Amino acid sequence: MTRWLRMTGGLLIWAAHFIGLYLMSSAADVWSSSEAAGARWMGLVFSLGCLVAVIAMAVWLGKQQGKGGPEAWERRVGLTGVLVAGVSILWQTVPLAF
Amino acid sequence: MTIETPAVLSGWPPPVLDPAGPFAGPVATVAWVLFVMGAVVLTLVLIALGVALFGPPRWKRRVAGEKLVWIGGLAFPVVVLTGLLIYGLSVTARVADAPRPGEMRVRVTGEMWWWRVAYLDDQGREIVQDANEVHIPAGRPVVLELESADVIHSVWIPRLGGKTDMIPGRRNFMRLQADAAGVYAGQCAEYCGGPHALMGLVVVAHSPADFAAWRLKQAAPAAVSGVPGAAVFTASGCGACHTIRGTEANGLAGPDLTHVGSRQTLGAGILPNNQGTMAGWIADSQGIKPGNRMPSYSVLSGQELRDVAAYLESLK
Amino acid sequence: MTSETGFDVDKYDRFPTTEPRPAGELEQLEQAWCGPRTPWEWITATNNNIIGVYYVGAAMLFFVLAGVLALLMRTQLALPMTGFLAQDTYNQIFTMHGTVMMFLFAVPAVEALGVLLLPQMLGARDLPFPRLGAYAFWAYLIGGLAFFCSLFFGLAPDGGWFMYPPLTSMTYSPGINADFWLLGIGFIEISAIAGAIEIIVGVLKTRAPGMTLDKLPVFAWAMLIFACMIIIAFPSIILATLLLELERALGWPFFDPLKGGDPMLWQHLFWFFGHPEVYIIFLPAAGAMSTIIPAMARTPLVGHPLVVMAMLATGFISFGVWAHHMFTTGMPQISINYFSAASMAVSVPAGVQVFAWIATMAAGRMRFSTPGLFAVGGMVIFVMGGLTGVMVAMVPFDWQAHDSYFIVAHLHYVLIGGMVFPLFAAIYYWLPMSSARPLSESWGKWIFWLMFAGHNLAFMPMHLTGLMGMPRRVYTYLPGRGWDLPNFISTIGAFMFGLAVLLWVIDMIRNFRPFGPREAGNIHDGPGLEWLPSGFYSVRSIPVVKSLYPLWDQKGLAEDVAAGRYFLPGAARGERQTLVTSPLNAEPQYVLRIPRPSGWHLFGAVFTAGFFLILTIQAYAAAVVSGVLAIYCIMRWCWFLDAPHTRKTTEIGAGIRVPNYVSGPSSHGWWAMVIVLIVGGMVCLLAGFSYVFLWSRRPDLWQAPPPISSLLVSVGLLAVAGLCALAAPRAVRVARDGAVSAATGLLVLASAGVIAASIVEGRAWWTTGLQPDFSSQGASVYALLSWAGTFAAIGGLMGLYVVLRRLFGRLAAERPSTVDLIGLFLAFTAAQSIGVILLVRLFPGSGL
Repeated sequence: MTRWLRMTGGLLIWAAHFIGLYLMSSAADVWSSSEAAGARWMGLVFSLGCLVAVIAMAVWLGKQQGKGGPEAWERRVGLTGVLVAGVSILWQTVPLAF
Repeated sequence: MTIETPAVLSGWPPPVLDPAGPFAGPVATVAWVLFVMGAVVLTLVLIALGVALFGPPRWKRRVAGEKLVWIGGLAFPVVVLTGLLIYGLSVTARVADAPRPGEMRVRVTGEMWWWRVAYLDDQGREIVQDANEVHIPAGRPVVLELESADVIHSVWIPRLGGKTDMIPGRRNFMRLQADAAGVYAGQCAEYCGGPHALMGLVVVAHSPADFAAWRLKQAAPAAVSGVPGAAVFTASGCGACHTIRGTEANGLAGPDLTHVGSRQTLGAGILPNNQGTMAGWIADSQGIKPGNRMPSYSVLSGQELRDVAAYLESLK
Repeated sequence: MTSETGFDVDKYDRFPTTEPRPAGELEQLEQAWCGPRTPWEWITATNNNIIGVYYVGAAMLFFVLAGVLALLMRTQLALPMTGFLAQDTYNQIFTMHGTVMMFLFAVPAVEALGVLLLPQMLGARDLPFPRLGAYAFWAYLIGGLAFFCSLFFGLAPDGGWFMYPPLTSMTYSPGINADFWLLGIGFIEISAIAGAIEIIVGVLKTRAPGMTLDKLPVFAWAMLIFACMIIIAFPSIILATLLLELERALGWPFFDPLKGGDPMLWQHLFWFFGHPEVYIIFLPAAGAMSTIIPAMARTPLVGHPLVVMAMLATGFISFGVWAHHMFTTGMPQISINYFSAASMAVSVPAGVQVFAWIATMAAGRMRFSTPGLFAVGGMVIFVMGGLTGVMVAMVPFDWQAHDSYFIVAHLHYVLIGGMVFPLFAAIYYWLPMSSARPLSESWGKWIFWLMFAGHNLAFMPMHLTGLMGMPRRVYTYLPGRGWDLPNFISTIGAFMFGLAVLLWVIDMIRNFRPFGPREAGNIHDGPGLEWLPSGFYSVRSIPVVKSLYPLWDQKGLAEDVAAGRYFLPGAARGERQTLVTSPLNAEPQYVLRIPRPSGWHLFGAVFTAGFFLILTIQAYAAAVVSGVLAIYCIMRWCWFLDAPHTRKTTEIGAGIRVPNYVSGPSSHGWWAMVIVLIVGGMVCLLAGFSYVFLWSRRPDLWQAPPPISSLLVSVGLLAVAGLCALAAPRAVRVARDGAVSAATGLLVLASAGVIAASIVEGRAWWTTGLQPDFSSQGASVYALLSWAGTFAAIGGLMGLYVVLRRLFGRLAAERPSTVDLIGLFLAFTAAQSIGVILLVRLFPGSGL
C-alpha cells in the first residue's frame, strides 16, 4: 500500500481537495448562499490544509532518495504527481477570490 | 419548399465575434485572446514537431530530452493557464451577477417549440404577454427570468451574450443589454426534440423613447371587429389556443396574437412576417415546421386564408 | 530490491535454462491450447486471441455503421432546408450516431484492444477470466446489434446521446425508443465492467516475472488506469439509467419537478460518468501512442515516469470536470469556477504526453510507415482539439460556444485525434502480430491522407459555423445565414473520411482472407513481449523481464522463449495454465488453471441479452423466463469453478515450484470480487448522493421515517448477518471435522439475515404510507432500498448455491475460495444495507 500511496498520494490529496470544496460550496448553496463569505473562508482554510499536505507529501518523497530499482521510479512518478496536484490545488483555490 | 429568411438572421460577421452589448463584448474579447493563444501554441507545437521529425541532428538534440517535456508540457502550460484562469474568472464575475431589485424584468418561458414572453412590473406581476420576441430598451440592462413549461430549452442571442438554460422546476436569470437600437437574432440551443432546429427568437432593442411608446401600444388591444378574417378566425376555433386581447379569443396553449402583425417573424423566428407567409403558415404549418403543435389548416379556402391572414397582419 | 512476497528474486538468474526440454512438451502445450475447429468451437471459444479479434471486429463494425449515419446527416445538412431525411429520422440518427460511437464503438474498441493485446504484452497465456470476457463480448454484440436495428423500425431513441429528461421521460417520449437507449447502454455497462475486472486483475496479477511497475508497458499502465476509471465512472451511468427506467416504467419521480424530482440530477449523474468517459476512451489510445511512437522511432519513450504520472493525473482530474457540460444551467458561480479550474488542470497532463511524444520522435528517427503517419497525424489533430478544449474551459467563452457547432468541432477533434487516429495507428501497428499479415502500406498512405484531409475539411469549418450561431443537433437550417458554404465543405470532408474508411474495410477483408502466406513476424522491430513468436497459447515460455523494452535489451530473448527456456514452458497435466504474479514486483505466486471453452457463458449471454430485449418490448413473462434461464446458465458456469486439483504444486521451470491453488487476498478471484463490490458500493454511494440532492431541492416534501423500533430490528439483523458472513471464511479454515458444514451454515444464516432485514425495512416504510411514486423522497428511498434488496436477493441465491455445493460435495476445507468470496459478498451486502437504512432514517434528521 505504501508504494501505491507513494505514486498516487499527491493526486489523492487533489481529489480530497476538489470534493471538499465542491461539497462546501454545494452545502453553502443549500443552507445559506454560495456567495456567503463564511463558506469562502472555510474553503480557503481547507485549501491551505491541503497545500500543507501536498508539501508534506513532497518532503516525505524527497527523503526516500536511497531507494533503487522500481521504487526509485515509483518515487519519481509520485513526485511529479505531487507537482501537478499542487498546481491544480492552487488553481482550485483561485475561484474563492472571485 | 423554399423559405425566405428574415433579414435579421444573417450569420456574417459571426455574431459571437460581433458583440452588441456589454455582456457579449468582454466575451468576444476573451474569444480573440483565446484564438491568438491557440494559434501561437499550435505554431510552437508544430515547430517542435517539425524539428523533431525533419530537423538537422543538432536541432533535434535540443528537443530530444526530458527538458522539453518539463518546459513544453509543464512549465509553459502552467504559466499560460494561470493567466487564462484569472482572466476568465474576472470576466465571469463581471458578466454574471445576480439580479438586483429594481431592474426591468421579462419572463421568457420555453415551450415546445416557441417562447412565451411576459413583461413584469416591479412586483414581478405580469403586465402583458407576447411571444417569440423580446423587446428591450437599448442602453440599459434587462433581466430575463427563464423558465420552462415542458423540457429543457436554452436561450442564445449570440450578439448580446452567452446562453442560459431553461430548466423545468427551476428559474434561471440572464441579463441582456443592447447598446444600440436594432434587431438581434436568437435561437434555442438545447436540443428539445422535434423541430428544435426551427425554434428561433428575436430581440428588438428600441431607443428608450420608442420603447415607452411600444410598451403603451402593446398594453392596448389592437383588434378591429367586423373584418371578414376575424369571423374566419373565430369560426375555425383559433381562439381555443390563441389569445387576442379585446376579442373572445382567449386560448393559452399557443402564442398570444394580440399584436402578431407587428412581429418581425412568424413560426418562432423562421419566416418573415407578411400576409403571404402568414397565409402559408396557417395552411401548412406542419409542412413548414413539422411536429409543431399547430395543425395545418388546409381545409380553409384561398379566400379564407387571405382574409384571416389580412386580419392577423392588421393586428399591429 | 526487497521482495514483495518472499520469493527469492535471485532465482531469476537460473533463466534461461540450459537443459533440453522433455520430448512432447510443446505438443502437449499446443494440444491444451488448440484452436477451434468446428463452428461450435469458434462460437464458444474463450481464448483472448480469438475473442479479442471478434471484439475489435465488432467495435469496428459499429464504427462503420455509426459512420454511415454521420454521412446521412452530412448529406441532409449539405444544403439548407433539404428534405433528404425527415425530422424524426434525423433526430433518431444523430442520437444513434452519438450513442453508437461513444458506447458501442469507442469504449468497446479500446477494451477490445486490451483484451487482444494485454496477455501477449504481459507474457500471460490468457486473461484471468476468459469466459467472463467471452460473456461480455457476446452480450455486447447481441445487445448492440439489436439496439442498432431499432433504427430500421423507427424505434431508435431520439433524445440525443445524453438523453436529458424530461425530454426523455414518459410524458415527452412515450414510445419505447428511449427504452431502447437504456437497454443498449445496459449491455455496455455489463461488458465494460466485466472487461474492467479482466483488465485490472490481468495487469496486476498475470504479468511476466520481473515485470515491475517501471517495466510495465505504458499501454498496460493506460489500460489499468482505464479499467479503474470504469469502475468509478460507470456506476454513475448504471444508476442514472436505472433511475430513468424506473421513472419511465413505474412513475418514480426522480427527474419530474412536479413531484420534487429535478432534471439536473440526471445531468450530474450522466456527466459524472460522461466526462471521465472521454478520458476513459482517450487513455488507452494515448497508451498505444506512447507504445507505437517509441517503436516507430526506435528509441525509448522520453520522460517515461512523467508519461505514467500524466496518465494517473488524467485519471484523477477527469473526475473533477463533469460540470463543465453544465456551465449554462445556472449552477452557483463558485462551483462553476471550480470546474473551470479543474478543466484547465486536466489539460496539463495531456500536454506532458504530447511533448513526451515529440521529444521521443526527436530522440530517434521516426519511420513514416502507416502507423507512424497515423500517430503523428492524430497528435496534431488532438493538439488542436485540446486547444479548443482550453477555450471552452473558460466559462465566458463556453457560454457562447456551448451547444453550438463549435462544440461539435471540438469534440470531434479531441475524439478523432485522441482516439480514432491512434486506434488506426494501433491497428496498422499490431495487426501483423494478430493476423500475421500486415495491411497494405501503399493503401495505408492513401487512407491516412484521405482521412487526415477529410477530417480537417469536415470539422475545421464547424468552428466557424458555431461562432456564426449554428446550434448543434439541428436537422436543418435556414438559408441566408451564411451557414450554407461551411456546411457544404463539411459534407465534402465527411465523405472523404468515409472513402478512407471504405478503403480500409476493403483492405481488412483482404487481410483476413483464409488463404495465402502468414508470416509477418516482428516487422516493426517492436520492443514489447507481444512481438515474441507465439501461438494460441501465447508465448511458448513466460520470460523473465528485465527491461521496459525486453526485445531490444534482452539479447536472444525470442529464441530462448520459443525454445521453452523460461517459466511454464509446457501444459502440466494437459491443463490450460498461466502464471499469477504479485501486483507490484511481479513475483511468481501460483499457477492459475484457465477454464476451457464451454457453452454456458454463451447461453448466459444470449439469455441476458434476451432478458433486456424482451423487457424493452414489454413481454414481461417471456422476459422473466429469459432472466431465470440466464441466472441458471451463469450458476452452471460458476458450478465448475473452484474445482479440485490433483496436485498441490507445479514446477514452473528451473526447479521452482509454486502452488496450484491460493485463496484470500493473493487469489485472482478475491480481487475480482472486491472490484465487483466497489462497483456496487459506488452505485449505492451515488444513489445516496441523489437522495441528499433531491432533498436539498424540496425539503418540504420529506415526511417522517418509520418508527425507531423497526430500525433496531433491521439493523440488528444486518449486524448479525454481517458477523456470520465474516465468520464463515474463518470457520472453514478451522482444522476440524464439520468445518465446511459450519461455514455453510453461517453463510446461509447471513443470506437469510440480509433478506429478512430487507423485508423488515421495506415493510416499515410501506406502512408509513410513503409510496415510491408519491414524491422524490418515496422514489429515492425505495430506490436505495431496492438496490440494497437486490444485493440481498443475490446473496440469497449465493446461499442456495453454497448449500447445493455442500450437498454435491463441491465444497472442501482445502479450497476455501467459494466460502471466502460469498462471505465477502454477504458481509458487504450487510454493511451496504446498514448504510442505506441509516441514511434514509437519520437524514435529514427526523429519524430519532
